[in-house]
Amino acid sequence: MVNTVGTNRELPTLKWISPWNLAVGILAFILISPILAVFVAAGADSDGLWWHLLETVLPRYVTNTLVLMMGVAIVTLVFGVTTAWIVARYEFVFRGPLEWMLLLPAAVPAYLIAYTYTDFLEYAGPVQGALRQAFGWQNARDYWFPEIRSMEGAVFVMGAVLYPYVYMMMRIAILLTPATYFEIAMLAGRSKFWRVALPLSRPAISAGLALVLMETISDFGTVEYFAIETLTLGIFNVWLGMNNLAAAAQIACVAFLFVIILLVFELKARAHRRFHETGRRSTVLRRRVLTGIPGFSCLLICSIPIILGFAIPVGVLLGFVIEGYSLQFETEMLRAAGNSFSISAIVAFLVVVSACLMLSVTHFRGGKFLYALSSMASTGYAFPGTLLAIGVVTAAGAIDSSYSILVERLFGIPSQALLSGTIGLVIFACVVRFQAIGYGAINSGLSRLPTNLMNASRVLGHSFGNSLISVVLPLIKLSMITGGLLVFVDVMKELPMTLLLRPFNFETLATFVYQYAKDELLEEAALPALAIILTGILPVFIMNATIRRAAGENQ
Amino acid sequence: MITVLGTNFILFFFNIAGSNLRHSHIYISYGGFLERFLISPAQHQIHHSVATHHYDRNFGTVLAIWDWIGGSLELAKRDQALKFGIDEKQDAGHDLKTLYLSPFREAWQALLRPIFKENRLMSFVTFVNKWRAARLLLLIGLAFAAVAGVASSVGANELNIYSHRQPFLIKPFLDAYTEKTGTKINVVYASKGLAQRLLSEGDRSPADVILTVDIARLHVYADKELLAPVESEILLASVPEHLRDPDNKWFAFSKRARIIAVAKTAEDAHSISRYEDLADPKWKGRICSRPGSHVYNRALVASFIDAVEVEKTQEWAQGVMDNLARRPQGNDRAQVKAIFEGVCDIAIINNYYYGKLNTSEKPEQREWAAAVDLIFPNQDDRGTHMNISGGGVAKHSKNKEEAVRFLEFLTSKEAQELYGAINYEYPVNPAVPVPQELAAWGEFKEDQMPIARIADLAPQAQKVIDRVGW
Repeated sequence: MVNTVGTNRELPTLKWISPWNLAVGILAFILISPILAVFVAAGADSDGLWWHLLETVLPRYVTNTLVLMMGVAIVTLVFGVTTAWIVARYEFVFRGPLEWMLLLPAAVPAYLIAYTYTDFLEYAGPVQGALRQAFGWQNARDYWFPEIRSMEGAVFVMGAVLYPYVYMMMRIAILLTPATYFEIAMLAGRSKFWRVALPLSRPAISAGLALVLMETISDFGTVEYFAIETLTLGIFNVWLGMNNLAAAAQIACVAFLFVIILLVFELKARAHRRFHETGRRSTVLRRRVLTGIPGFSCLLICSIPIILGFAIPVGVLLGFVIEGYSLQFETEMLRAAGNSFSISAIVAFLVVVSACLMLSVTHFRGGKFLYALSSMASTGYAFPGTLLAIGVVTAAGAIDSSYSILVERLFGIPSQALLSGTIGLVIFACVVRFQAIGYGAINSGLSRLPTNLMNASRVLGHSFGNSLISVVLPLIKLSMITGGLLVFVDVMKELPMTLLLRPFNFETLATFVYQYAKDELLEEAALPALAIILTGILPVFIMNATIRRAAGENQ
Repeated sequence: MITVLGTNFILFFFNIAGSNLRHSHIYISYGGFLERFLISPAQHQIHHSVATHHYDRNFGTVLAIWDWIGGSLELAKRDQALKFGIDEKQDAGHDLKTLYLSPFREAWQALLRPIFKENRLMSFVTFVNKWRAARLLLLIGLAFAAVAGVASSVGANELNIYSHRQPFLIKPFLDAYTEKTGTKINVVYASKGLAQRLLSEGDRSPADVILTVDIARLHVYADKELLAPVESEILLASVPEHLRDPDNKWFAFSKRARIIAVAKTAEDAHSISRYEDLADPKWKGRICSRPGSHVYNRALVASFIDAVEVEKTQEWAQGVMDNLARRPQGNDRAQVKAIFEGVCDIAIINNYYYGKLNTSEKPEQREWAAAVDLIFPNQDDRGTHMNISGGGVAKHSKNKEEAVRFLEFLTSKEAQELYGAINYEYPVNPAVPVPQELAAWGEFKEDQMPIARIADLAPQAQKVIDRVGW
């Protein structure tokens, strides 16, 4: 998109790297470095462990992982897509509150929901207790009850907290689709959902689903608690059990490549389609008013995911607090809450800035290499958190030693670690891991913008940076806020990386809860666990208000 | 650092190079590139110029980067003809109040009011828009560096611990130590990966002491040469030989017995006296267990390999596996609960879980404990399998003396009793008696195999577990 003037056309143009491309390249490289470090760790000798693994556990790990991913994908798609369509298309009682409450499960960490459901559904829990009382059964051998600690259970609890990614992305996509498209469908007698909403939301849905799948494949807390032998559980068995980090990193890299292939596949599948809005901004679809049975069934369909993913776990936690099992509120907990909040805010900001920069430059200035690089930079989510943290710690160690060598040679003074053991490292790790979320959200917003916009602004004499700030960013404001807040909520829940990388005496709510949850003593940490969820509600609320205002602007 | 005439040489040359002439009429410019980083005399002269377009320019004294970021940088021009001072028209009064307050008033008017009055986001956009993108990036970079630069400064009389043991479990020990010595203790707790962190921190690591909850992890530290050998008569005297590293790099501080819990109601199960009995087909569908790859089960399998070799071990593990009432899941607490619920009759647990349930604040947990009897297995041969929690001194510790003193404290009578009181673990120090509560469960013979062997055999044990799919 460089403005070449016609007069010196015959002169060979000097090829140079623009500072924008350079900045994006460097940024992407920094974000990729921990991922590279994991690959380097995988490059070490694994002592022929692969044969043992292939013969014994690997087939089981892979099958379980695939089944889990499939299951979670189905649950999240069903929950996310249907509810997004219903709240966008129909008007019914409580639609307004439901609209934002559907996002609430995003604030519940998967390890908490797994724990609370086990408490809820197990033998001694309220459900089975009530059943025994009702039917006069004596003990567990008298009747059959579905086992929550099973593959189905894992699919269910993970799907119940992960569907908001799909819901969120899909809803924005529908909001941004001009009503004229739906009108055309109506005129032509075609389905508004199958022929318009679904195909046009495809980038958004696949972005949401990609996040869901990456989260699923890298989850450790839930699968450990439910004893589902997935690849991630296997990674930890190999690493800690056989004391072989190399083989563990190799399994992780295989899983990682698997996710990448999946993403590339989806990208290729829609490579020749465009999702730009070509026309002017027009009205959004007017909602159809439903009353009576249809209205009630809408209400029912939309409240199921909220009850499953939010009301029940929060209820169980509240129960612990009311029964007085939980620790009392202390200043320590308050400080942990402050730490969680500030880290989440900083990471959300940095992710949005870096994702915007990388995406705008690649989107408007092109360059396949740069595009590949920046896509790579947003795949950290596919690694289990602890393993990515090992990558971060290794990369930071390399940076620190080169820094200290530099300082010691130049000034002859011993230097302190620049990154290792500082909050900066935790922030860096979170930016790498959650880049995918910001990237996905902003990408789905940006792919709807025609490249003409930028051209027009450039022709009118604005620099690339100016056009970006005054033309492009305001148009993707919605996606930026969405991405930022999703990242915020996710960092609030983040556990393994903060745990490993944090400085001395530094607690977040999640690490505070973990020390109890690790020994299945969550009751005692019910209050901070609730605090994690409640802090997540605020951004969810803001997120919805923004979307609503944006939708209002369109109407 | 080199000093010239008592001052830093860089500062000396900077002043020589013209900084002293900034309030003169002599034109000295550093050139466009350097003037973005350092304020030249010519630039500072612009700061004092009366021309309107030179207002609020070049605020920097030494560095120009702040002006660059803030957009107030003005590079020197070769042919600049300046008039210094302030404009005659600008006569705002010279009393003290005006001089102090006017900058704030003007700043408010220039910056904050528009933000509060107009659409906030848009004014932020226009605000950002005024900055050149490069400056914006520089600012973000600096902000990041500032956050990252908050290094964890460590005082002299402090002890830094990397712990695999939960904070709430070690806090009583730390408090007791701090009270005794006045040493402040800092802790990082994580269950996985601390060894990798220590490894990549290298000799810059702030860690002094490593604490773990099992032998396997402790061994990883020794294996990667992250621990320093400790020479301490006290530690040698209070930790028995089979519970410490042959090279004195790590020491056990507490012991746990891996015992068998059987339902009170199951008369026949009380005949079990050895781990080996669990593989007997007559217990089919009556045993509960946590996953085999958990460290405690892995260690048990490793002790089997030491006693009866790999093949026999695998047969045994397969036998236990075939007898399980349900898929391996949950922790040891959950196994006791399963017995109470009637899911199974037999489970392998660590002794302290029973202790915690037995004295729990929750009545239902006490009921679970009341539903089981304990069996200390293999009393007539090798003895009951024991686990340890332990620790060592980090190789690059800057405070090794204090670190050793802390380890010694952990083997002292006071701390050893705490292990029993807090977590129902057995003391390692032979001089310290077993706490009453624990002694009440019965005296028993311990497996005396060197604990280091268990760590050596752990990878083989994991392979056995993988093969039988426990």
